[in-house]
Amino acid sequence: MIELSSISVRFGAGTPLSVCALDGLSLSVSRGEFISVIGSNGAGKSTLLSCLAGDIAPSSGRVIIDDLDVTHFPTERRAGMVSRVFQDPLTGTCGSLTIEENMALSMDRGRRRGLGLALSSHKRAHFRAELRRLGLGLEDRLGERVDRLSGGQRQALSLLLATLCEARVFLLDEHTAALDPRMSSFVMDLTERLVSERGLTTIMVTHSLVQALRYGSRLVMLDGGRIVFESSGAERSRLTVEDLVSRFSSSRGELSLDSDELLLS
Amino acid sequence: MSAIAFAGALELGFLYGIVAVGVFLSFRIFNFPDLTVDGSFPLGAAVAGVLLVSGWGGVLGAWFSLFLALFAGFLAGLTTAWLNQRFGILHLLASILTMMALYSINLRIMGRPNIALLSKDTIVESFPDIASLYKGPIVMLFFALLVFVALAYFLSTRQGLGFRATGANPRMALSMGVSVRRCTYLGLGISNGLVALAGALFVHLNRFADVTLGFGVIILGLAAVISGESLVRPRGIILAVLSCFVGAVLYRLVIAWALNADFLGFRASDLNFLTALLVALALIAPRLGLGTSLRARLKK
Repeated sequence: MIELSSISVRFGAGTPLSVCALDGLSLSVSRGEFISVIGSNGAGKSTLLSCLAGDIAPSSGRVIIDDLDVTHFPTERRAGMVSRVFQDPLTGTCGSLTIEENMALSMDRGRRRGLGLALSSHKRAHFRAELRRLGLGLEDRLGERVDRLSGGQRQALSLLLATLCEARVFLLDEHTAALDPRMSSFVMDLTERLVSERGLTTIMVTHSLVQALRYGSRLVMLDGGRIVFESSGAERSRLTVEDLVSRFSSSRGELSLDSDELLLS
Repeated sequence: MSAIAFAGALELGFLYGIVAVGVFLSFRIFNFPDLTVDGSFPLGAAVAGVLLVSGWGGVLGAWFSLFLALFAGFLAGLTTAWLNQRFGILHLLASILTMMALYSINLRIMGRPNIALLSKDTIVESFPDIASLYKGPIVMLFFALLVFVALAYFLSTRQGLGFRATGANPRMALSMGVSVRRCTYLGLGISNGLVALAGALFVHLNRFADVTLGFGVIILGLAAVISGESLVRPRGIILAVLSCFVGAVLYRLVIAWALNADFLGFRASDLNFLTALLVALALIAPRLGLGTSLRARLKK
């Protein structure tokens, strides 16, 4: 169970330009839940994920993962509990390493790395089996450098890397935003498959309302660093994109939909 | 080229191969342009030189001087990493600061600008006696092999993989639980330790230490790394480490040939010019496609 309790994040505190990215946000996620988080730019979606991952320490509030208070753990200390796929496919994989080296690196996420050889024939067989599931033919290119792959292939690989070993929470940060529509839906289907197969507790940030409605078991809308709307279960399955847009406008006190057209996709 | 010149070039080639591996580690693996090496090479030389003159003779003393030099270089690397990681000083600047401070420290260690070891036992004497011109090169080859095997192995381990990810993609490394901070400290320490070891070996080989020995070490190292890379085009990490030695030996042979070829009219004082020219050429070569055409011709 993941628990965020009254998290506030303030950038540039004490200066005239001080920005409140998260404003006393509380959220609890039970095991196996798949939450999609939506909201406009600057709503605090990415900050929320960064707080969970450890990139940003909140100014106040606590982050608790399975009864362990990790609020002040730096990113590398939380790595065993948190796995993540970034928006940019170049961030989630290491271009100058080969596919098998990337996989070996990810197998040790959050573990002590000893002085044993990173690769073995046993591990390679395991990697090949995992890569085969992607259906991209990467299983025959184990020794190839990752910077030879396309953006979509790299993102699919990042997804696999992030799920190679167990994590308490799986974070997806607009992970299809940089991909073309075809690759984007491929990566989303893969995401759903991996999440359900491995029973991952997932938080996905997305700009696509369609994605947010189609995938996951619960929907959370952020604005101004706060949760303005939440929906799950049967109520959620009846929601439409138009409902979300009007919800979004009413939370802002806006009547016109014009300014929110960008949200529709 | 005479046999003596050839042996000398090999000897220095293997020695500077160790420097090149150190530079490869900071520049290529950690993406950290580290000029500390200009200070840690003479640091190793100073430590070994002083130890040998002060009567630490014999086989044990010789080996001990190498270890101590390695350790001193490691500390120098830690200093640069500390300035950069703890206080956020730009990597290049942090390394220049350490390098500058090391100049004074080296003078303090030696007590004078240079030391001559006339009849002291060096590491070369601790190897089996072969009355050959190639004893120096063989001893240096031994150390080069040692460094090659150790580093190629280390970079293939699980820990080594974390090192390589740190330089190539720090965000990903962090998200995989690699402590970027710790890896940077350790990496720069190892890099400078190796360069200081080479400095100490230089003293054992040439029987003198001088405070100005470090001038341009970074360029010598880079020359070897870059020319090695453009010739070998390494595909894996083991070949990448090997290419440092290939580059260093080749570079020394080219320099020795250029200085020996009378028709070219070079003098020993032209060395820096030749080095700069060679590095520039090695950097330009891949753009002109020289490396590829050369390899294609070699394959025929």
